[in-house]
Amino acid sequence: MTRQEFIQELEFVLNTEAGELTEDVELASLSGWDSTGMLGVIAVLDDVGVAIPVTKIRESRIIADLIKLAGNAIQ
Amino acid sequence: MKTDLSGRNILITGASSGIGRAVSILVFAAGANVFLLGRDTERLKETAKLCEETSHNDCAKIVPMSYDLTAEPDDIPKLFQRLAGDYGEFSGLVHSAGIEMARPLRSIKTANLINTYMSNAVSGAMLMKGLSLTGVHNNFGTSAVMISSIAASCGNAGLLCYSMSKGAVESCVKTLAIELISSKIRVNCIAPAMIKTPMTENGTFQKIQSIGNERKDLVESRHPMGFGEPNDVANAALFLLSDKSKYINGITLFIDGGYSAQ
Repeated sequence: MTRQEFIQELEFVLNTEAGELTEDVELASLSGWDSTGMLGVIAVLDDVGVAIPVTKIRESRIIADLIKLAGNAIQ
Repeated sequence: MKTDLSGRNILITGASSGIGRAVSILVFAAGANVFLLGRDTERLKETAKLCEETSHNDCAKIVPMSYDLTAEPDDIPKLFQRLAGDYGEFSGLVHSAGIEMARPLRSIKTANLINTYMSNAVSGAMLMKGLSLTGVHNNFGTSAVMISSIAASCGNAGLLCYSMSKGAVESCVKTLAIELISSKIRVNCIAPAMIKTPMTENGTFQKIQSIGNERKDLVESRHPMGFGEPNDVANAALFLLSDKSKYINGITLFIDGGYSAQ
């Protein structure tokens, strides 16, 4: 999965408009950043083969933090 | 009066842990020969050992078999035929194998839907095909029990793949309950609410707990009598396998501590 595709998946699970998510968007500002959204982020990370403790997801502040969690699993 | 399944062959899927393991132990204790299917050989051996330790039943057989129901579903009927050829006709089946999947709609891929459906529903239908074949089932009365879930009839956010597959299981049961009457095969379903098993502890529970206590509390609060135990389901399966339920066919028996009464 490319970085762009990963962000697109995050747009789906966090219920934002296409192209709305940039790396500096604050997660707390998104209405989709709730327990269901977090469950969706876990699923997206799972799809790229990354199992992350959810505490790390909860600690994430901006979209770039979620990209960091995916690490080398995305190009 | 104690439930007696002496001399009957019962095949149990998902026997390596959780509900399937609990069913195996109770059914063996009731005198049946148990055929334990699961993917994990070591855990199947543990189930076999637990059966032996729990009931000291010298007359009945325990046959553990490492088997992946999703690998070649079309081969499942052949497995049943082979077993019936070696050990005699089957009087019962409990299909407990399955996977859970907690994914909100927006993260779902076609593969998630298909994999869950294959594991939970398609394998059950193919098991029923095998059991229905001439020479495989006992002509004097056979009982099949499918483990569904409360999720098939009550909405739960994030469980679309799972609830769809379990809904299919319940539809399968209703259709086959009628179709197989002439073969004297009863087909029923058990729909448990959240049961404390390795699958729920390591899957849904873990995710829900790690997301936030408020969500776990929400799930628990929807269970008026708290979460269930594997034996709560196993006792119901034992009843449905036995002659005590001989006039029960095509039902879904809720084992949910009042969940669906709300």
